[in-house]
Amino acid sequence: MSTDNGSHLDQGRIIASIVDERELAVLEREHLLACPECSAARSRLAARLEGMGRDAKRHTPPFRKRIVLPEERPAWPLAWVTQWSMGVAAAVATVLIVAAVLLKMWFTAGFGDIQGMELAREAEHDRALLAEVRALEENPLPAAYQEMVPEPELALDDDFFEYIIPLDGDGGQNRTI
Amino acid sequence: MTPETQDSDEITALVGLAMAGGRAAFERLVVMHQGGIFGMVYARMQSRADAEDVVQDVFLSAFRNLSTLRDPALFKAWLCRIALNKVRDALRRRRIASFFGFGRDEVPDDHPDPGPDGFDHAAARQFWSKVNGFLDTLPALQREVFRLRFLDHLGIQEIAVVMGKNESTVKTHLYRALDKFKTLGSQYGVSVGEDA
Repeated sequence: MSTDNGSHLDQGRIIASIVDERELAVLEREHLLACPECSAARSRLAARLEGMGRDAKRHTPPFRKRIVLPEERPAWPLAWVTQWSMGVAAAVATVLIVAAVLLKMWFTAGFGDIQGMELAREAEHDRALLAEVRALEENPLPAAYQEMVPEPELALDDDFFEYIIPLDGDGGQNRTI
Repeated sequence: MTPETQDSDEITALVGLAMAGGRAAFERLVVMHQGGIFGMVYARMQSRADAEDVVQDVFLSAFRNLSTLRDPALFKAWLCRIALNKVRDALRRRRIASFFGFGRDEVPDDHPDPGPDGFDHAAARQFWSKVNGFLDTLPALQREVFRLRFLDHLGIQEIAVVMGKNESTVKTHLYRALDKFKTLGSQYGVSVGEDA
């Protein structure tokens, strides 16, 4: 037993008994019950605390306000309707989402074909353009002018030069031009 | 059966009914607890109007969140916990408003004469000034535990729930606070009822 002079509870044990009497050992509890001095010390402290609690209540103004709670929740049948409509809304939303996904897939496939055709058409156009370029390389003049120019296949060979500049007997060695 | 047990059983039953959607049961709980919660809030805010607003807010919050209460037997402690959080928020708002110069920092009720309800504001101001003078000497946790135990009349288990601490921690803080009260209480004039 913690005591001041070997027989009474010290202040710490008195306070502990106020905090929670079960904190005291059995011997201390028995002493507190039997000893008028320790019991009075405990009662004095307890009375001070109770008095303070009472005065706190006395010096608190009365509560005047009326507590206002929110409106009642919807009645049960209405709640059921709400739940039912929520269910329908969820089902419709699901159907719409599935439809949107399917449509997207279908359109993607369709666009794929269209894109393929488009590519083929462009390739064909490119081929035609290249053929035209090659034709222009061969003969850049339009058809109307082509008759006015010498034969495109004219060969500038030895015969041609012999015709323009005939050779002498010496093979054209002493010829002056 | 003691009156406390009877009250506790009634509260538990009412909480059960309120949780099942019984508005009348919740309204009964409001009537049973509004005075205690108001006292608790007033002691911390020292302004009747502010305390009344906070109490309204506390019950509104409790009504909306009743389904989160796990143990109906701890309804009072749960309510006190909401109240302490609301008080903390309100005091924070008051401090912010005061900082920007458009609010009030400390607003004790200032009515020198007894009001129409017979409440003596001057005596109340004097009393709370002494109590708060002593409480200000305590560290925050000791102060809160002391208030909850002796001004709000909560049990150790309830205080543990309100503060989110275990019971032995609560007892330790209470012990230290009481030790100071024994030495300093008289110095601050908080020895009312000593001879009672």
